[in-house]
Amino acid sequence: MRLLTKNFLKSKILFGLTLVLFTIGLILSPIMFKNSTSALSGSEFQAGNIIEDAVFYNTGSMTPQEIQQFLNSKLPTCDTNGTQMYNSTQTRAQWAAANGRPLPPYTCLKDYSQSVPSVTNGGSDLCKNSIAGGTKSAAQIIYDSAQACGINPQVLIVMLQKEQSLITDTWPWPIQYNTAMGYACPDSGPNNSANCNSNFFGFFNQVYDAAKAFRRYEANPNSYNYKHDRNNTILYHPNTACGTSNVFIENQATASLYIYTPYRPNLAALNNLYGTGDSCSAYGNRNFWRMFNDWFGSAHGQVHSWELVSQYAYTDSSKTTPVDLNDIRPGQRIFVGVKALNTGNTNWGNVGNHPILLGTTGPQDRQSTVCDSSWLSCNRSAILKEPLVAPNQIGTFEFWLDSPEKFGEYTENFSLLVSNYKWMNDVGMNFQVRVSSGESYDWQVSSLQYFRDSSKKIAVNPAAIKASDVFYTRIVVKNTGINDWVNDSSTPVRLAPSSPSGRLSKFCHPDWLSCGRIVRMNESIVKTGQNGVFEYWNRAPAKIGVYNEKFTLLEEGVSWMDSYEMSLYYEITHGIYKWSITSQKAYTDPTKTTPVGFSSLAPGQRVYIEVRAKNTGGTTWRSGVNAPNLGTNAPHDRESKFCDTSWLNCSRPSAMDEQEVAPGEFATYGFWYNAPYEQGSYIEHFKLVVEGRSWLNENAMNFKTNIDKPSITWQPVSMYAFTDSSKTIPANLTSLSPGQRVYVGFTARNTGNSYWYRSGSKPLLVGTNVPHNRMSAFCDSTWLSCARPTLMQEFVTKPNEIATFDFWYRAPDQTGSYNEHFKLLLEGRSWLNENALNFNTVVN
Amino acid sequence: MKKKSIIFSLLILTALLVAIGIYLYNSSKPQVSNSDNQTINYDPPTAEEKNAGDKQKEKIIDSSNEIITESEDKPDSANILIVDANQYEDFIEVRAFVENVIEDGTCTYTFTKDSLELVKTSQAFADASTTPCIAISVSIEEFAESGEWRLVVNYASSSAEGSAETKLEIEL
Repeated sequence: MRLLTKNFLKSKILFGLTLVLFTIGLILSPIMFKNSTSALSGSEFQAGNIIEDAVFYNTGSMTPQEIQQFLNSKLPTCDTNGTQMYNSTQTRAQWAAANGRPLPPYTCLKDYSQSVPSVTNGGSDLCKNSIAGGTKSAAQIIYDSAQACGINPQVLIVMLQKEQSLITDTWPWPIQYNTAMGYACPDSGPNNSANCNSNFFGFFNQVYDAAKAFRRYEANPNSYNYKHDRNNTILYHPNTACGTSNVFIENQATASLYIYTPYRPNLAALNNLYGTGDSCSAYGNRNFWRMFNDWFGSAHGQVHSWELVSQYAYTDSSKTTPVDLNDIRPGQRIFVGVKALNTGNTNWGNVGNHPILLGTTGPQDRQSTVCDSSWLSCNRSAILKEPLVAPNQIGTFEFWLDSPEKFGEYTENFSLLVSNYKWMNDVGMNFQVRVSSGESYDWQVSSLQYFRDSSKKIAVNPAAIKASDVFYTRIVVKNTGINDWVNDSSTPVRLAPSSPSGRLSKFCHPDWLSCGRIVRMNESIVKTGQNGVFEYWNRAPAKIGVYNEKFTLLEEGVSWMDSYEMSLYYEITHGIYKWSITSQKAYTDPTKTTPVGFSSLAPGQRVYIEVRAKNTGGTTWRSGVNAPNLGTNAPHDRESKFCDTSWLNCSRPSAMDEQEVAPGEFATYGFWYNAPYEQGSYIEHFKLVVEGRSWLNENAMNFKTNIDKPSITWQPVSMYAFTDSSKTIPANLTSLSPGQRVYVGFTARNTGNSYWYRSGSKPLLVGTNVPHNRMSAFCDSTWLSCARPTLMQEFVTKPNEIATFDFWYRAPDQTGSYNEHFKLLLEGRSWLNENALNFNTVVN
Repeated sequence: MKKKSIIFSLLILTALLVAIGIYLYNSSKPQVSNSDNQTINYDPPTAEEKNAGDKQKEKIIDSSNEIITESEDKPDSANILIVDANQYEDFIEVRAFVENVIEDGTCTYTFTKDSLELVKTSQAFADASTTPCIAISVSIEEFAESGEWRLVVNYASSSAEGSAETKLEIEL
């Protein structure tokens, strides 16, 4: 019974142990067989595209620490002393000794280090970066070589495994380090053995030379035996009897692998991906592809890719109040989110060295203008929210946007990236934020400039604008409202005086649309945050003083934008007006053909004077605006006795002839100088004056003129009457029909010392007499008035010359005998009383 | 006795349930190699990977076991493989290599058609595992006529020699 019990207990224990082992097996099985259950199949091997260029040349895939971590993971323990059993009877150390092979201690790759020479590169086609010398770990050597030559360190790691199994070998021999990458080792030869060139021995030499070879192949794609984008004959095995196949190599990385190892796996090798094929199987490139996939994921396509599922924006992180990104205030924080579908074949995580992040793009790593203090950095807005997002699952990225202080539209582009590894595909995802004041129509001034003219080359100081100055203004305004400004023909966007809206501005210029509408905006459309430009002329008021001009915008027919007004303060001061006299000349008339002197003039004599004046000040004289007139002086505004009707008035002989006289240029003043019929020695003083502003006091001029005692006398010379004005058929004044018109006249000699003029301030006329200024019954419509039949015909009649007076003489309707009396008179001065005329007339 | 047996059975059952739970938990986890990193497999080595070191040593033993230097014996027969010899637009490209030696040498390309002959040469140099001939690109203007040409690629060095041939169509 005891025996039975013991046996029973034994069986129970055995049963229990079996169950425990089974249990442990169940626990461990997912780990132990993880790789053997990998989906990788030999049918996926693409002979023409073993690995993509983007993967092969990606130097940023691992840090030195990650490489070391990887080596540690593949070498949990090292059989340093070779104590593990090699076979059922021998330890590894014993087996090695029996075969004449290296004895312990053995150094695993994870613990391996060596002295590395300093390498200085910089050649035109090989490795570009240098390597510092010193004692370095295997991980650091792999990393340095990869970085120096632009190769993915994962490629070098896989090469180390495929050539010498160094990544997982717990008791490697020195020869494995010496030929670590199989560099300078032919794959064929006597017995197809590897007969390596000892010149390239050494771990560093092997890793670095292999990396350099890959760089050399890439730099000289046309020189090597395998070339991408070409059909290439490739052996299956070093034994050429195994045959060849034709492979179209799709990329340089694959071509480089074939240059390095010139065989492709046959079907038998691919059918048994983790084992052996047949006698014609070669495994180098198969193993490279398989190991890369097992350790570092797909060597093809986008391992990491995504599609945008949705975006959202809220005022708060609890996501209760949605926010319109088109209506954001400056500095407003917005909580936004992105839902992204994992369309790649790799899980996404949010811990470790390669979390999935949302980063700025356009360009990549751009410093964002909406960066918030909660971001990882201003080019990394968020980390994946979920700890794990498998392929075809959706991940979330949420973060705060800190709106800029400046108004405008901001497009912030983002994409996903695998941190410290690579960017994913850019789906063009962005957040468009419109920062505005919140008003429908609002604006602010971005810049304000004043120029001398529309070429905008010479700036004008707005604090030094002079009265009546014309200046060119350029205003750049920013649309800070929500609405766009549409400046089309039906709704032009204009600048206009305001306070009140549509006020007529005192700075109005003839080029303005009107004095209540200044100018139209240059652009056809200005969106929120964009600038619009208004350019226009101003004419400063003639009156000095301080002006506060307010302006605003309007979209004609749509809305005034008077929530904001631009106040422009102008202090209008006197301009700098100076002049100098250049010349003073006198002529008989405005044709200026016959010069005359004017120091002594006959009474009533007129001479035409031209004064040339240089603008020696700093202000342009503009006709009708701020041009100085010639004025009488001593005292100012004195009524001149030489005044002529052609003068502006008797204290202003003349305005400037020119339209505009810039500083340094010359102005011309021409005017009649009309001697009075009064004896005397006259000194006539003149100066320039800017009306309403100032006299130009630095210079003055005067004319000295002597006038003799006037003698204004005449004698009739002849009288006549004709039927017509050509004076061909004489008419009989004693036999006129009622209403008949005859052309009558007389001539008179100037027997005095005065000049008679037809024009001017005192022209010589015929006037009715007995009494003076009688209204004549013979008045004709051609008369100046019914008391003034006509003017002297000649322009001037000098002393002793004869003047002519012709006029139509219309018989009254009433018959009878008439005696019509006439005299000469200097209009505005006096009648010439010493003689008179009369026409005896009979109307039948 | 019976009580002990029941307790023992319960313990076994508990262990089984725990095991099943752990297994199901493991199975339900996404198949991530390492939670720290989705692109690098930090798992412990597989059995096959663990065994790779031993196999490598067997290969070393199985081979000649000799590491020869440049001064030692070399094969006197160079195996030439013509990878490509074709016309690409107005050029004939030829790419070939010596697959069983690693050394510097000279490659000679002889194109013949009837009595016509065109000879080109390029350097060959020691590389990672072969001796590639520097590829040549010959303008078709150097060929006298269209048609099928015979190409012989010869490799020669101080210690090895070999040749291979192929045919190619040239259209002028």
